[in-house]
Amino acid sequence: MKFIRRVLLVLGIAGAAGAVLRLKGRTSDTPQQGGWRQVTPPNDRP
Amino acid sequence: MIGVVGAGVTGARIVDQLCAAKEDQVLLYDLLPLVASRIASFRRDEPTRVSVVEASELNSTPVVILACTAPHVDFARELLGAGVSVVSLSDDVTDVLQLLELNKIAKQERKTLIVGAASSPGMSGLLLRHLAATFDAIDEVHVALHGTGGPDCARQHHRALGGQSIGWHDGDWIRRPAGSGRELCWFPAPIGAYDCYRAEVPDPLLLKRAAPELRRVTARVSATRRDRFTARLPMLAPPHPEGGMGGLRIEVRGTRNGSRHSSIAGVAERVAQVAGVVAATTAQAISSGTLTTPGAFVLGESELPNEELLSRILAAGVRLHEFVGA
Repeated sequence: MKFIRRVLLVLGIAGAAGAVLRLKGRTSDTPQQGGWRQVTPPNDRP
Repeated sequence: MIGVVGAGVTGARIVDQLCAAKEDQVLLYDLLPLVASRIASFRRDEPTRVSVVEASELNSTPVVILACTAPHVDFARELLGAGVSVVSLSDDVTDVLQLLELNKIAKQERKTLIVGAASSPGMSGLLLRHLAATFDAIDEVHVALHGTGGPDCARQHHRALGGQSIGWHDGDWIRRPAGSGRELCWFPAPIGAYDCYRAEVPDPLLLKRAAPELRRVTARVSATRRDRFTARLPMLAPPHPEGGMGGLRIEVRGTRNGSRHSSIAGVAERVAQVAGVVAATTAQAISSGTLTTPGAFVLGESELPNEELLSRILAAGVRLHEFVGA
């Protein structure tokens, strides 16, 4: 019983730590919307 | 006449590109002459003469492409000493650093040594220079690579995820465990989004050399959970003969008209194909006299004709994409 309680405690702490890290993760300033556009080689430009 | 060392997947793509660009003669050397002979026999009907030779016969060519397994440094030293320019596709950190130390020999011999002329590094340096031209000043570059070329490239990818990544951060080289630092990176279609992680790849070292003004440089490679879990073990299964569609993505940040700006460019193509076209185009530029600066260089350095090289690479069929978004 004591062992099970310890396992549950460890899992709980790990879950809480994981949740904190996930929520407090660093945000990035990379573009969030848009799409890819093919670039025309300079020699093919009209 | 151009020499090629290595008749693997990338070596075959290099020979293809040299044939397509109508090079008059290609001398091909591999430790396994049968493999080299097979590649040469497939190109028997091409106008370009592809001959299988011994290593010593490469000394008669003006430029040799090293597309064999790393390390390349001993081969490159020998070739430079014999008065031959060298284009290396090595993506091993130690090997790349040792190759750059051959700068003195290359200058003494008045020959050119291009280090890391593949997809990443290589194409990444050219794209850095291409994007940097649209900025007033650049200070950050972040590179991500998806996919692998041949089996040796896949083994290198495996080793890279088990080592120590190198990054340039505000004036210091920082080391972090490879496989950490997950970032979701979007590649051009049909690749899409992949989780990418830090890895022991030479891109930051070479990009910093190409653009010394940079304050932050990182490089990541895509990986699955299994890749990361098994990275520190021997490869559990033999790699594929060739990886599927690959992608390269480079994000440059800096200032334009007084405000912060970022530009992203990408390529979606088989990694060995991009590496082959970049290496062959660079070697032809040396052979034809377009690139004559003596010394050891990385693609993207201001002394090189980067726009001319990129233009030829795009003309060879590699499609460049730019991210348009906000």
